[in-house]
Amino acid sequence: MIKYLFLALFAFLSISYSQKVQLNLKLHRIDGRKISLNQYLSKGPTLINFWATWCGPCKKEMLHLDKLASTYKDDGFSVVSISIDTQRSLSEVKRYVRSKGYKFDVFIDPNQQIFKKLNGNIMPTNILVDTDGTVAWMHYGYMPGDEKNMEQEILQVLK
Amino acid sequence: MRAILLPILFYSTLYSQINLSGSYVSSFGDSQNDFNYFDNRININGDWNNWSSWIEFEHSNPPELGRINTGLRKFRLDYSTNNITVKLGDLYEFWGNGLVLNMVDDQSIDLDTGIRGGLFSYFSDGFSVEMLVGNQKTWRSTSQAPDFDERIPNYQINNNIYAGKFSFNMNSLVNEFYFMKTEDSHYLPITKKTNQLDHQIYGFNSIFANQIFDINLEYVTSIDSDNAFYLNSNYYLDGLTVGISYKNYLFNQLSPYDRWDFVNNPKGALFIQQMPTVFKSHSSLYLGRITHLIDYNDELGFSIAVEKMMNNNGSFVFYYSQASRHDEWASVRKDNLSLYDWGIVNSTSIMPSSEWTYNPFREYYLEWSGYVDSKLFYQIAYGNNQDVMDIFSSQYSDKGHSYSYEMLQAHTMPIMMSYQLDAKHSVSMQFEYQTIKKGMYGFNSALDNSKEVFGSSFEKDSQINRFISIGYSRSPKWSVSINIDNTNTDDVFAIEKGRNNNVIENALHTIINKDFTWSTVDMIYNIYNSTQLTISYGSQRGGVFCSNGICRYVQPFENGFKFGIVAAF
Repeated sequence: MIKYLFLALFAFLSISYSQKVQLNLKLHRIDGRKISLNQYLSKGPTLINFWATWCGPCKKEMLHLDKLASTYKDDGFSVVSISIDTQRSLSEVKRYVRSKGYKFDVFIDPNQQIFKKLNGNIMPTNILVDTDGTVAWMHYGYMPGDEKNMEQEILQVLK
Repeated sequence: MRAILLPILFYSTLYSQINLSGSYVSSFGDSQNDFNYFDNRININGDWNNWSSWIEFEHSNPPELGRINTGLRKFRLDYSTNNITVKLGDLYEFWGNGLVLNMVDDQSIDLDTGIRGGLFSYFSDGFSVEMLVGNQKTWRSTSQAPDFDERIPNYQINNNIYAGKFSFNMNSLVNEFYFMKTEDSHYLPITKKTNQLDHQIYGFNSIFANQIFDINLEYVTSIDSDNAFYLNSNYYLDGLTVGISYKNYLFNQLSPYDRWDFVNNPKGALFIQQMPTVFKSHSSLYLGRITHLIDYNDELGFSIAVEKMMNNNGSFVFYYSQASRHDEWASVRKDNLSLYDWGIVNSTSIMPSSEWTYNPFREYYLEWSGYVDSKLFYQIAYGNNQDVMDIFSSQYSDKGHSYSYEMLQAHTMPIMMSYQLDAKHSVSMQFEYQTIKKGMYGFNSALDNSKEVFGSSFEKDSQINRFISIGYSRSPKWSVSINIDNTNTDDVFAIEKGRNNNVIENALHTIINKDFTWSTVDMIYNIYNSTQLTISYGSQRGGVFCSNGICRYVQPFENGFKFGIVAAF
């Protein structure tokens, strides 16, 4: 029991300083290639979105993510969309994104290693990362209207 | 000593360059039918320059699914530069489409195919090399081992794994070559002995993609000439996408009697091979419950998906999938003796058969979704499923063909809608309607004027299910929903008499039969952006819960409370 209390205390104290994402975090593209998150962060703030083809709220949210990616593209802002569909249903991912015509880049994380590394637990999870890797904002789930808050947070880091 | 070390560790971490973050997931359930659980998991991630670490503690006693676990569950240390990655500890890797290896940790169905060991990889723009060594110890539920329980797995799989991958890129083409050797310490409960079994698998994966077309094919073969082939190709036209997938998995040919007995039939697809299912993953509650159970040892099939973009970000989806086993099995006389045993009497090798003797499965799925004025979201779908789940007997004689098999036929219509009232408030509605005809078909050719007979799995000839959920949410803080799941009859083996209904079910009794109604009220509250609290009160119907072709029976949750906390820190 003591070790769990210790970890809980540790957890709350950790809030006192900002979290960071590793700049050389490797992302898996659907075509099998890997690229580093830094390729996006070197251009500007990046919103990392975790989703899956079986997640209804994720699909509703993607329309707004696409709009945000287009609106703030010239400011260096990017959306990196990472599907946690398992390898068993991965073929649906590329087909879904291409058919919708979304402009943002899509990656895969079928064994949820990046999802866990960035402390994702609920679908969708959104993490707004500043250029130095600092996590500026993180949000679990999607309710219609959340996109307004998301846009405010993006504007904050673009200032 | 600990009293000294822990504060040193704590303060040195706090003020050093190590970046720490983590998450906490807790769920608690207390029902009136003893389906109680208390699951707690803490993940802690640490980064320092090129080093990173991950540890996961668990205190689950008892867990919702799986074995009791208290203490350190997982750990890993990674070193990564632009070209080199080294990992030590619990590994979760995937290669290609998973025909060779695919390590997943899916808590929702208690599926963990990870290994504990080491990985080294080198990659540049043109090529990469990867090697891993480790041991897989994982648990599964099976009736072929003592102490069978759907909720608590009772059989341990123990494999040593050695694998290598080489890949190179040529413009739009990526090629990968694989090798894997496993040493399986296979325990046989009948003899109470552990046998050593080796498997060797070789394979390649090729991906080509351009703006209008992509193709991915993967082939693996074992040293015993068992093999698996997977193909996926998509065509992107103006506003129209067409996708075709094909699977042909043949690792072990087992009779209908032995088909799911991996304990006494250790040869075949390994637990680490989690391959594409080639049928759709549904978000619908009812379509999820009747998901086809994939047989990675022996299955071939294909799927076709057509998606057409409509106005207002809407789309129309047509999905068709079909699968079957490679062989027709029937009782045949062995060696001119009077004894009968299962034997292969017919085969198909390229395309799936639709004859019931091959355990066929097929699904049509149509979906129409879109927005009206960016405020109203709608999704209307229809699914038509047919699945020959089990064959109990099949025998040809001079008088004809005698048989018995179990088949499911279902029509499902899920509808989802949400309407945004203003910038923060929205309402949502989900309605699902399903009819299922499931049962045993039998015919005895030895009887005069014999007809095919049908024995329903339900107390009535067909089951009609209705689900409705009405929700209200206020972004970004909270949402509340009421969910009602009703049926007209239940499985003859699963009916629980004398249920202790909750307030909502009692209130609904004037309209619908409360014995066949399960209702819950769910509330989600976002304490912070990344701290979510969920509270649920009511009853949940038991049944099969599936995730990507792997299904588990989950017992009903009767008239109780569930609490959940998820927090990132």
